[in-house]
Amino acid sequence: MKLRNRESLPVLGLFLGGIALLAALVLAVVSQLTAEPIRKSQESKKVNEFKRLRLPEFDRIGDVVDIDGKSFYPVEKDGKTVGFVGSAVTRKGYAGEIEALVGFDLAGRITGVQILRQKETPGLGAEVCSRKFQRTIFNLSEEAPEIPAQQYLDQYNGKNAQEAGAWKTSADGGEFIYKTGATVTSRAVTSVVDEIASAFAKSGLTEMEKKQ
Amino acid sequence: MKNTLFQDFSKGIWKENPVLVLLLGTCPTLALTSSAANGFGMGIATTCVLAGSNLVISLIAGFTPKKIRIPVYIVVIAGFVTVVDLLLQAYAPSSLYEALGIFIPLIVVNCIVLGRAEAFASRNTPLRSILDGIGMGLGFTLTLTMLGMIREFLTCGAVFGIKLIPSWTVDFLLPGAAPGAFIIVGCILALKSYFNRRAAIKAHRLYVPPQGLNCHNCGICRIADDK
Repeated sequence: MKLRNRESLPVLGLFLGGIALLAALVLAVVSQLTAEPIRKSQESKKVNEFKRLRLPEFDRIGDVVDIDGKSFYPVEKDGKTVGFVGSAVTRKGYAGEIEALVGFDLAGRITGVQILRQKETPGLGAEVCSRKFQRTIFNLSEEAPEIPAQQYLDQYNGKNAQEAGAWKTSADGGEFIYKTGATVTSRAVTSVVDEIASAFAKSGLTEMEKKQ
Repeated sequence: MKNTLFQDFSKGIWKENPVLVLLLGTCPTLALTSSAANGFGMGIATTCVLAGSNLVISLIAGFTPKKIRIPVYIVVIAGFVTVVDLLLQAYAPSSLYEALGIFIPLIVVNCIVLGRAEAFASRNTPLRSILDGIGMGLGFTLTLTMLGMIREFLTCGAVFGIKLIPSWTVDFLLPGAAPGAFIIVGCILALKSYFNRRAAIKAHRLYVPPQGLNCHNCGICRIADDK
């Protein structure tokens, strides 16, 4: 083997392979070290978002039920179901997918809506999707509320899932408001909440609870 | 005539700013500056990769076979980018990580990183290479943050999430989108060109535009007939 010549094929192959092996080892170590923090942050994200849906008090999230492509999680207190959370993804967003959570009480009424993830335009579509305590130069030291009010997400509160099926923004003749300059995003949010609510109404999940 | 150590660090910030002079890394510059925080986050991530990869590459460049040096550099860069990606996923606020999204892995093909590895780190000492990496990264971060502040302010009147004015009376969507970013970067390039030109005239030097912005090789209009 021509190991003396640095540019010979075997040496090239060995060197590149060696560097790749070294990189893989380093990455394995870092991946191990960060696996726990990553898992924790992903888990706590979902639970934290559930808490912002103004559901009746709960201490446990039950097993997920998949209906029609949407996931429904019963939330329980002391073993008894006190509400449901429906989650779904829509691709009708302006810049990609929007994942929404809708909280329901046992009567089928919407308690709250949260957007888990979106990539909409900051200041326009993103404002429709997020509850932010808007900081201005006048309230720099104020404490942000736990669940900041937001008109585009709060407008579904109190609506019964039975009424869903044809919910539209006022841009399409419906009853829900939309943000000027963020029509596509507003439509997408209304559409995904509508889908989750109608799937919930058709699912009969509340009937199953009542029977128990 | 070699630069001083400090010059190797500071040239990346203004004189050889990677975005405005070397015209490298324009993809993340245009795509990730719709808000100041995103631009800043991307800049910091790239700076970490630059510093790390410049250091390692300057250490191994001496005995790397010339024929495979580019794949070897890419493996090193990709390794650092993955480390930064994992660290961001574990410790950064999830809103920032999701906003940067797919652009973190794309730091591997950010021309600034491979460009500095090839042009500088492979021929200089590890200390100079780290300084060069941090300097270029800092220049990149400053440019991205400034661009992000301008675009965020023009689109929603806020900077780093803090609303400075109640609202624009007309919706100004252009700066939030890619064409607007191009236009704003163009304006900044023109401004920088103007100041460089003035400084050269004051110092009685001949003004030489950066290679990518040199009119003389173009011939489309008559600006090339320079005064």
